[in-house]
Amino acid sequence: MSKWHKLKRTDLKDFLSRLAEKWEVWVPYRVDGKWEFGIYAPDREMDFPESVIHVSMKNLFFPKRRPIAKYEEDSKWSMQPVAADDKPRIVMGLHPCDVAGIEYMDKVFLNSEHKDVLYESERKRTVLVGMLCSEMADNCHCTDRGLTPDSASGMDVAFAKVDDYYLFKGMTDRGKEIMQSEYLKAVGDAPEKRKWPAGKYAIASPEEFMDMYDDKIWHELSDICLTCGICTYACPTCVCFLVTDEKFKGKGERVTVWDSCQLQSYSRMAGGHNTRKTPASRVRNRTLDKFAYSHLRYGQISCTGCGRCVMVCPLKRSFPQLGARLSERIRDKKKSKAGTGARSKED
Amino acid sequence: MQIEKEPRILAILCKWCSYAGADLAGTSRFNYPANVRIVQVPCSGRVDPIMIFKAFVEGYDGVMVSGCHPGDCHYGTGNYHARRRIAVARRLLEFVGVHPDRMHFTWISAAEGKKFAEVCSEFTDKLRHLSGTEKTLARKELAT
Amino acid sequence: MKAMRKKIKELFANGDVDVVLGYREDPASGEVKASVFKKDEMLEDMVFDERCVQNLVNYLPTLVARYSKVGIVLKGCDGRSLATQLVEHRINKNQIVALGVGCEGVKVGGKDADKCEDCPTSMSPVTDHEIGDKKQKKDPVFSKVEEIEKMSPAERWKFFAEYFERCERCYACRQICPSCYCEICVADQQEPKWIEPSAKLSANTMWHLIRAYHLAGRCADCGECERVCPQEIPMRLMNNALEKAVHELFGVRPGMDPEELPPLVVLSKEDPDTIMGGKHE
Ligand code: SF4
Ligand code: SF4
Ligand code: SF4
Ligand code: SF4
Ligand code: FES
Repeated sequence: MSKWHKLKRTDLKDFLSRLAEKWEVWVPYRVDGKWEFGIYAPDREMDFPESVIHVSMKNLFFPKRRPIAKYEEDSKWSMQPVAADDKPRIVMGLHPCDVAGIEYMDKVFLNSEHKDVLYESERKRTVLVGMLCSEMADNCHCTDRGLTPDSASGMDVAFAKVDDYYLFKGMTDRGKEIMQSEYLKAVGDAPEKRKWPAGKYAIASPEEFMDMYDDKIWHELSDICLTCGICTYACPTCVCFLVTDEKFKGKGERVTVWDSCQLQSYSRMAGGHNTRKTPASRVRNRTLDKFAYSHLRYGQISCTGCGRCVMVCPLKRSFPQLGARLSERIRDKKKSKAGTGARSKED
Repeated sequence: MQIEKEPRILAILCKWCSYAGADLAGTSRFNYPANVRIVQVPCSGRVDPIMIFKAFVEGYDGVMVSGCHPGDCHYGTGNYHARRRIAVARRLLEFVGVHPDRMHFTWISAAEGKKFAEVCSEFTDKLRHLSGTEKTLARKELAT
Repeated sequence: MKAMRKKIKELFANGDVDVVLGYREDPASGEVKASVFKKDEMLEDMVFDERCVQNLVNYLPTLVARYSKVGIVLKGCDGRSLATQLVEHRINKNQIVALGVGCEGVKVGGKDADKCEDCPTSMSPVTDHEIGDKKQKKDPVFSKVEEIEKMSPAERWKFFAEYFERCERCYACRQICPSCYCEICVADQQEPKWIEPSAKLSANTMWHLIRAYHLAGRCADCGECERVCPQEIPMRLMNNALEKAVHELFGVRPGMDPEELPPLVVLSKEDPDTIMGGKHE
């Protein structure tokens, strides 16, 4: 077992600058009041916020617009795959929920059936340095999703903020390379483990959610949703994309662009038929994808409880509340079933 | 290099009058600048402002639309609709920063080959004068 | 508020409405949200105050498909919005009971909403019942539009490009807009691909131009597009510029008259050629 190492807060800049000599270092910056990752620059004010980093780390592994192949008129439009970037990179300040999101993306993009080579290279070149949360911010609900705010699972290096220093610990072999810094001093004591309050809303099981497919509750749950796509764009585990060609002045690129099941165009087919025409069916798809389909396919529910969807929703719709309302309905249904021994007619 | 600086013009012309006018300009050997690329549409009423927007975004220096004179539209009223649409589209483009001289909207009949040549020359001249000013809206790279 | 609740109870009692679209304060969170009220349900949570920002007209088409009579609580701007929908025959007036409320202005993020500053109607132009006071109608002022109009073309573009660049193409602006109801929006079209789906300046510019243009003469300035935009793109500026344009060009004020057709669907032989700019003989 490797030890926890101490880094004085006043040494942070030197520590990062030294890392930046070898790695491309990404840390959180505040831009127009919102946190996002940016490449470390010594003269820019940065910090590791307790609140979630608004623009999710999804962008760093699977950007919104991503060229996958290029072609040119001169070469008779023959396609060249886009070369992967292999510059070593550190992303520092990820929260446990972000890392859970990355673990989920791995399952989608790196499974043996379909491998996304560009995603793979982004993952390979990146050392994940995660921060153990010491408090839960406003919209955080990871504890509802079976995560612990100070769990280091999946991180290459974990660190915690303590008084006027940080405590770092290498978790994997890749992580240990970072730990070699002269600014880190080994200490014995681990950061204090906190006791976290239990989740606020009890969530039903994936199988129970699947049973709700034909329930009429979806109309109620989707009543004011605009079915814009912003919650899915903000979500760290929404990974749908469309593939399209873009051309300009004799040059072309085949790109993947984020898509969203909340948009009407997502499920429209050639000929105009739409399998998810109503907002209710689209809201159902997103909800069940988060709580059930993901689990059935990859063994992990894909809501990490980061709360980004609540923050960005123009109508302040609360996804955790929606999940809770649904679970409540599941319980009610069960009760009435147990009582009458049959499916109630109303359902 | 010289050629690079020459303005590129997109002319969207109604088939029945203006395109025929352009044809006449050609057959009568009126000189007009080679800067104009013509797109033929069935009627000026077919001109969706999205075409004009796209032309500017894809880097044209100027856009010209022309149809039959009011009252002469082959389909009766296409050009009255076009007039309104273009009026509004023009206001929008000017509002976001397209120089008013980069747009030209007019009527040219099948008999007005000379007018067509003149309009093209005038418009090209105007755009040459603008060559020092920023070509707003125009994209520069594939990825932007 | 009392008067409104009384009126709504009365409407329910007489069977004049099946449901009422209004604003509800969630007793748990204290947040005010759009809500569908049914007979004897939650009416005590209904509110109307400066927190009732959302334009509810957008929900009407789904509701009239499900219920035969729908009541709706309307601010002045929402009423203008309703007028635009009625004239486009998107909603049948017979299915609507319009409850106009004298609006004192709403607040967005703790500040008076921009749109209220320029609001020409404190009371909806379409009403079946009016609750509260109606202020004098005034002509909209376009001071912010005029500021832009003072800039040079390059300055204007610099101003807008900075915003366009930021658009995420989430289409919240389209989804919330009562007037953006196309089955297949031009932005979703694949062939021809007028607007590339990726979020980048050129495609975003196309999106914003076409969005504004399609709403010319139809936008009643409810301001919802700008409010819901996560990137705070000033879409009202473009809307207002075109509102000003259609008034100057065709003498039309969208939303003020539920009988007047949008100026771009009608034609006039009398329009002067000069509206297209340039000189015409
Ligand atoms: S952001 Fe809100 S309104 Fe938009 S699709 Fe998501 S839940 Fe619906
Ligand atoms: S709401 Fe804003 S960010 Fe989203 S598509 Fe509209 S303008 Fe772009
Ligand atoms: S464009 Fe914006 S302000 Fe105009 S009607 Fe639509 S949502 Fe309202
Ligand atoms: S932007 Fe235009 S095409 Fe798209 S929904 Fe709105 S009006 Fe329709
Ligand atoms: S046919 Fe020429 S304008 Fe209509």
